[in-house]
Amino acid sequence: MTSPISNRLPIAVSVLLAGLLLEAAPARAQTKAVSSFTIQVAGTASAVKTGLQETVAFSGPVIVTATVVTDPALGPTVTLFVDGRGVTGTGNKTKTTYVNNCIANLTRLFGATDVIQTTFAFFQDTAGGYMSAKTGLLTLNLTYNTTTQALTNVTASVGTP
Amino acid sequence: MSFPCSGLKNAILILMSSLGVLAPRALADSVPTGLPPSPTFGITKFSQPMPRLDVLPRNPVSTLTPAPTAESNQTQQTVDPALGGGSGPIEGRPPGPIWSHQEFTRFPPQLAVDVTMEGAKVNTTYNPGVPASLNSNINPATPFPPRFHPQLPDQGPLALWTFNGTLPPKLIIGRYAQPLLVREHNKLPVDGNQNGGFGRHSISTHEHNGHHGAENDGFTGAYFWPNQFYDYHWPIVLAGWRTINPNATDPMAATPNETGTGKTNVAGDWHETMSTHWFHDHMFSFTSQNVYKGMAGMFNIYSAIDRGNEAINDGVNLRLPSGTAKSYANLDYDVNILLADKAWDNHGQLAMDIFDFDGFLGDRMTVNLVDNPFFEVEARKYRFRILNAAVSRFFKLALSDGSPMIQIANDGNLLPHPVPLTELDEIGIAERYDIVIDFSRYTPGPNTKVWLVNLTQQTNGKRPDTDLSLADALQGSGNDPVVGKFLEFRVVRAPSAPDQSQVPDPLIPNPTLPANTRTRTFEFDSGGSQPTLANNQEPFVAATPGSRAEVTAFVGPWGIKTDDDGGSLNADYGRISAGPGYGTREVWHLNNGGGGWDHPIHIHFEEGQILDRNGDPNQVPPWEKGRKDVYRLRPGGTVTITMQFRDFGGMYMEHCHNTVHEDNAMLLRWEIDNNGAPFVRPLPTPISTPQGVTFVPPDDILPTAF
Repeated sequence: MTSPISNRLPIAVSVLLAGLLLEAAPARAQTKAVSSFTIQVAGTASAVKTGLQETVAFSGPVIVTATVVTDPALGPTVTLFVDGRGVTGTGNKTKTTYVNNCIANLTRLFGATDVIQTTFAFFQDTAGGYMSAKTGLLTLNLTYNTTTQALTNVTASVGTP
Repeated sequence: MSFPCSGLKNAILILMSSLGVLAPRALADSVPTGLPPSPTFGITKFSQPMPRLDVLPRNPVSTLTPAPTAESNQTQQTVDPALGGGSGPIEGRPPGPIWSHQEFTRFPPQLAVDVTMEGAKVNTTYNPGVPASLNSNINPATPFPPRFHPQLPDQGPLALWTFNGTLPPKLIIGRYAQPLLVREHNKLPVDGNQNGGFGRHSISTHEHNGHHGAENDGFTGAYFWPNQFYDYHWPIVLAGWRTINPNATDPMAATPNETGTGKTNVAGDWHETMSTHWFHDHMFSFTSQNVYKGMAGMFNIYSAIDRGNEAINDGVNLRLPSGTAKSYANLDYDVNILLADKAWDNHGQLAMDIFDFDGFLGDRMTVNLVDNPFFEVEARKYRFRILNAAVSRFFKLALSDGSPMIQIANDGNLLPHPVPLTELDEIGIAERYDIVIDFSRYTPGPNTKVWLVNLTQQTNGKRPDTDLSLADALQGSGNDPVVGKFLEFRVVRAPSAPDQSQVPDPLIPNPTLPANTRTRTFEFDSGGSQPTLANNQEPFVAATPGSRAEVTAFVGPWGIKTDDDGGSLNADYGRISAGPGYGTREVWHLNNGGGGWDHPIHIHFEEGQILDRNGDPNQVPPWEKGRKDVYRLRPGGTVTITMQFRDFGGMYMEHCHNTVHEDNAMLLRWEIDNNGAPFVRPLPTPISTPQGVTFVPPDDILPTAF
């Protein structure tokens, strides 16, 4: 009969390597810094780029929450939670209201500054409006305190890619 | 098990690196695989079509010989000397009433899927489920070779192990109230050394995330051996069928009739309707190797509400993009996409670094297991069922022109509301995102192309590095060859028939939750211990004599801490870490307890709902507000979920679906309990050998489990 222990030969090597792999164990020296900014953004989406019949002017709040986690083996990483769903748009001809789905989780490398461009879908605030969604662009300029790893400033703009 | 030269070489490299013999960047030429870069063999991207998945035939149950039985068929056969000789049962399912198919009489199988697991060979029976005109003109009558690209050599039978031994990956079609009996024959080499350098010839197949009895869940310790089969009974029922809509009076809870436009009511909660599943190996400590080696397929489940027919307008059918010819399961405009990063050696054979416990990354992108293909579409709406079938890699997808897509499902469950997005969230390993792309915005023509682009750069198995902007990702990444375009859509013609599909709002509202009965916390981190073993070296010795922990326990860098104050524990499928009461709902906190790593946590059995992220309900994005079975933690993150435990019982699992983390001990067993009835408490642990399965008592029951 084949002993199930024969399964374990790779385990022996695994254990050996686990003991030798210095980066496999250090986990608990983690720090986490969470900071958040709410900023007002404004900008326009041109008809030429969206294919709409009109230019859409956007304004409203964007919430940026940065979670910076340090890892001795990998260096710090940033998870950004961006919520711009409070931003609304108005068409310059029809005065149609446009809403958006600007919400994103973004992984970023940590640094003193970071520039992020992320696209989002916006659409008429009507039933089924999402079927004709268009593409907007949110640009974020982030500044961190490299000691505390907290956000110290955020600026942003909205436009089209 | 043998260790191939490449494996030894890398082990040595890793050891030398760890000891400081090599500077960290000495491995730069092998980032991100840990192996030499995969040779290109002159391949250019988008030079081959993406094949649709290969639809497995469904036959009358009477075609199975021997006939399936509720309890495991223990008819004896001679066991190959390479497996220890003697005799053993023809079926590898554990014997006796505990592992008998639950509700086998109530839900008798109506159709059989007879499939093998074997080494690579040419496919002469490819069935894409659609005409060639809807499959980029691939002629299904032409033998389909086991290769990732025409310019690559065929994969050898030891390099690639797949269902039926062939490509493309398989698709099983199912519908509610049509129970399936999936008989899987293990035709892998009897000699465990004959594995091409990685992979294990004992297997267990998980239907991810079936609402089935545990005996059909692919429990990690219920594996079976070459020359055995295992009968998986997939009843395909709506969760809550015992107590919600038990008399099948709710017209929303229904299944399509086999032909025509009608439907038939079924018991259960229609808010629990599921759609896009997959099935894959779950062999204890070898899941990553076996899945990477090809043991993965997809399973589409159809219902009256998600019927796969876009024309039937009965007030229930959502009419999502699909087709019209058949009553249900039209695949014309409903396309499965299986994403997986791969690597190959100088001979073009699939290669894997099994010694990096952070995770494994490939440097070539495959879609339905072919390298960077194209796919022809009509100028209309398509549904794509996207599965991340990678070992350790996350993908963030966008269209190359930034056009919106509409996400309609997460982990195979239709969302409460459709979500328009221009960039999908990072898809964690094992997650499924169903999206709709409307190609009617493009003018068909020979040069009308748009690409699916991966925005996430990842150079370490622990977590993604960064999400690039679309503009940057289109330029590619010098650090990660999997960044950038990987699937070319060619908008070749106008719709051949009117597009009758819709993407309505709402889709499927969430089910109403009963009262919570208990809260548990699970913390996923490194540095776990293994108290059920007395030592950490060969021969492994169980801390409790006779417990067989030397079989069920594993030592690795990863672990899970529970409410019990025993610290983080390595996997032991003989240990019971949680025992929710039958018929209850619980709230589980899933915490990332270590470093900047990421862990996509999969909890088997019933779908859950995310209540908050990082303690904040507002951080749950719209695409996670439905039901899920994989909960990605993110570095330093927490997720609070709720699950119900009903309808079936037995032993299930919870683990990281970065399968390298899972295999290296980030897994635990939990079981549904009712203080002895209707299920045994605690369940004995199966110990599988080719000569038969024996049972031993659990070698550990955490004080907080029950």
